[in-house]
Amino acid sequence: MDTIGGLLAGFEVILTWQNIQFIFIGSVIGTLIGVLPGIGPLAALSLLLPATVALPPVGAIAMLCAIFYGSMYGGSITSVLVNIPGEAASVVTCLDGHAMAKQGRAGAALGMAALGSFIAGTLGIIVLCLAAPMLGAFAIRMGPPEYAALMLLGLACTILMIQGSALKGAIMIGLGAWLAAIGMDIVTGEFRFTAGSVDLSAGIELLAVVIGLFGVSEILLNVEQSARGMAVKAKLSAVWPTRADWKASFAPILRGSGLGFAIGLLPGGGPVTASFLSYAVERRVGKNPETFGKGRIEGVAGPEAANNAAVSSGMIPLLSLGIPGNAVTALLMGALIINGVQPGPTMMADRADVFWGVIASLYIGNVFLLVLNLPLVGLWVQLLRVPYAVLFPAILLLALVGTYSANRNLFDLWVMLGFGVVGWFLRKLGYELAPLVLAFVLAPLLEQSLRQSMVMSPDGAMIFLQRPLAAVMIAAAVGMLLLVAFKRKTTTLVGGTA
Amino acid sequence: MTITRRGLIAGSAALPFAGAAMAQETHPARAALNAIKPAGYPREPIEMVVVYPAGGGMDITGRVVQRFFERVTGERSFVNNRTGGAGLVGHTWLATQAPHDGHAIGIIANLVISDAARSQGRWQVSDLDHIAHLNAEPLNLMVNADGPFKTGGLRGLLEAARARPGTIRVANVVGGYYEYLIEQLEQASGSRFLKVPFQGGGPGITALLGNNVDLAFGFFAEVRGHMQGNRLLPVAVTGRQSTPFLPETPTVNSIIGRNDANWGVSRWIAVPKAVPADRKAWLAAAFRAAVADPALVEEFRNLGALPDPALDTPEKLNAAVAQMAEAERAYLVASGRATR
Amino acid sequence: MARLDAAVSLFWVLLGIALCWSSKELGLSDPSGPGSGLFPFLAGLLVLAGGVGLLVRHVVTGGQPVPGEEIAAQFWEAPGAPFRTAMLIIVVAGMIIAVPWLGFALAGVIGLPILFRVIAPEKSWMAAIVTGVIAAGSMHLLFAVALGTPLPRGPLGF
Repeated sequence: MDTIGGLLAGFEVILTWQNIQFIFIGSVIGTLIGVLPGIGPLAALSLLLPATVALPPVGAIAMLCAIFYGSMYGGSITSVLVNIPGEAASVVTCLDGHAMAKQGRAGAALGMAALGSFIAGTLGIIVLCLAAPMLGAFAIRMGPPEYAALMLLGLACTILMIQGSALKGAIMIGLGAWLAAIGMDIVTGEFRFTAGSVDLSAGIELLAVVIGLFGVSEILLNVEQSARGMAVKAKLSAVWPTRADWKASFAPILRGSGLGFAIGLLPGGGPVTASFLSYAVERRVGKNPETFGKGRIEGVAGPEAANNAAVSSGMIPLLSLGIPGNAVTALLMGALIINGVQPGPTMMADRADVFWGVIASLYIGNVFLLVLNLPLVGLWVQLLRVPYAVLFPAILLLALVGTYSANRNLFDLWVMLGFGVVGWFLRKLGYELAPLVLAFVLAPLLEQSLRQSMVMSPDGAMIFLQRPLAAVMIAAAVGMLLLVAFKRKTTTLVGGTA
Repeated sequence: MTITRRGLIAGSAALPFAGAAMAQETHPARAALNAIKPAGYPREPIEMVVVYPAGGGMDITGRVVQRFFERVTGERSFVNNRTGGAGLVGHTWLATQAPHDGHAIGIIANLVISDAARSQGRWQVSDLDHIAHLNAEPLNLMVNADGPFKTGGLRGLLEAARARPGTIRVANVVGGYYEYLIEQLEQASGSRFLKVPFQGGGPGITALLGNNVDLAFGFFAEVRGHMQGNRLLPVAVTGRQSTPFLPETPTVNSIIGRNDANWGVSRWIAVPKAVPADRKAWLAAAFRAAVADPALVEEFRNLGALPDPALDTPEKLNAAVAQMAEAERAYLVASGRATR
Repeated sequence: MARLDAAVSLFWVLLGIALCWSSKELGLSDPSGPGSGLFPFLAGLLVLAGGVGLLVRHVVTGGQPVPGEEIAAQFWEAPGAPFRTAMLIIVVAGMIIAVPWLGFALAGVIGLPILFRVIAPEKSWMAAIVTGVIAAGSMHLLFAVALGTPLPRGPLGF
């Protein structure tokens, strides 16, 4: 079979001492980028892009890819330990991961996150190998109507994530959707809600929102309450996942892998969306959904698997068709072109060395990351012994520098601080912030594809019924909303008597 | 663990300087440049601002140029992507906030002209001095190789539009050349297209590949791979004459009988007007020497763009920029968008 | 807290109205379909509806939270909390203001020890300054030296 042959040739290309070194460096930098709040994979890759010009193409791309998926491994660490996501795709890991840490099970959460990432990453690469061209061809047929339907389904899932007051959740979703609308409207070219400000015309930076809402607000909450003592200073006994953890996590990891893979495949999808949706799904299918957010390992294993699978499948449209699905893969495409490789349908034939070499490097990188991360779990957990007086100021400085480095714009720092104060205030009043972030990510994609569909269609909304895939997804979204509405009603009634 | 640590330190320390190592060999133009080099300049690495995201077409050109600038001058520099607002944020920074000491320069394109209009009077194209031209390329009009318009070329497409008004789907990017070009095609066919808005040329090409639009425009680097893979076909190019990259493909002008369907991209170096004249002169000479390097021309060619030998001095470039701004203004007036 | 919760709900109602109003100005529909303002209008409607719902709930239940909704018992729970919170916000804001002049490293060296003392007033200033210098130094090594990030520079050249 030529897949096997190609893959073997790829390993031959990649298994040189020099390339192994590049992958290793990429894995280490990626983990570090993931651990450090404030700096995400996109900023790190654009900072390192110039350096790759001097490297051989395969090594350069392998290193950049390793940084991308390495950051998905590292992102969970601060989420679990200090409730501050290392990057946007780890926001949901905070919910149950940090709750586990409070119960002294930080090690189990971190170990399961690494293993889940590894399993998902590896499964993703296997499917990537076997079916890249076919899946790529499928992804490309998805037009605006299918996207609009998919995003609607995603927003419906957001509602599943809300644990407390549905009214407050609705407000957060609306707020997120509005904040995302600030900036230029791509359909008319008009500026919306910018009040004449050039800074606002660029829109609000997702990284600044996430770091503010989750990082700065968490630090504010802790510092404010510091007299009450540290919550997580508990026992650090269980470092490894138990047999029960494994049993609970197995299915979520597989589900997360499948979901993440499907979402990563589509342009516009990506690890952030994948992790949120996986969490929503786990809460939906898991037993006792009310205990989610209180330390369920499924809430860590599923999303961490999903974000890694999304990274693997995100490579498919890039490598098989030359189409970047998100900002990070667009950057990888630039790196290929800078290195003299033209991504596109012919790359598999013209530059088989790069195509298979990069795929082979994904296997090696994932093994490196598992080997790097599992033994380090014990070490990371020791991070909890660092006094908050040292940890929090250092994290704040990192968040400032990292957020600045994404756009080199001081305005983003004010956005970060502002969202930190707002997030801190709202959390005290029982508002959940995760739906805001998901709405912030999904609403613009929904708006764009919906408006594109309406323009494309000579007969209005009928276009959603004429395209079977879109119709099925819309039906699923409506079904899910009805289900939630019904279930809410019964639980409120029952809860009302208690 | 020791190997680990050494590898990490060696790796991370070596990376940023890999580019500088290449600049070590002395370039033939270096001596002439050093003769006019202002004293005490550059004091620190020069920031080359690209207003579009890393990895995009403009960014790739910027990084190639930056590398040759270092090779020619032996000075350190770096590309900085000041992105946002479809270029408005970076252009505004260059025109109004960038330091005036020559340590920040812009690698910009003719899109700066429409951004100046969008800036609502905060700044104008003439607030920048345009000191060295880099390259230019036309827009390629593409159809799907398996789609309904695989034969018949642009003429066939326009006839179909005439026969069935409001059904031909064209990928559009609002407020720029894509839109102007579509309008010219609409005028030629005497009917309307469905203008499907996208965030940039790339997503439009993706939609074309999936047969979700019927016609899309793209730069050569964006479409070359798909042409080689036999998925897309060129039906026409913008500009006064055919492009050497697609010699068989006719110009839009020749098909629709106009002379102003010349929308494309032209890239150059600009600095804030207040930068001292000697620094501007040195920068201009350095970039001219870089663009004259056959190795850089080769890199441009790989990206699908060619330098314009006619624009070899800042004066000629400034005149050309003024002319481009005038052509766009004239079009906006003629199409009823602007009053003067 | 119930009163504050209600006040915030009222704020959402006002914000929702303002959003719907200004979205309407943008145009809810145009010939080819939904207009610029339709989506922000829907977002504003969601905020407005949520706010109204919360106000109704406040009147009906007297501000009783639903299960899973974790409202703090009172706004300031720990002694000295307003001081620490205000100091943290002021110091971070001060650092952002100072960055263009001092650069990140120097702003950190000045700001971090103050934050350290705000969080752990029982520790000495010496410990605070050492921590600040080490943290700012490693940040600088990581970003400016190893990653080569172009950062604003201070008067000392870094």
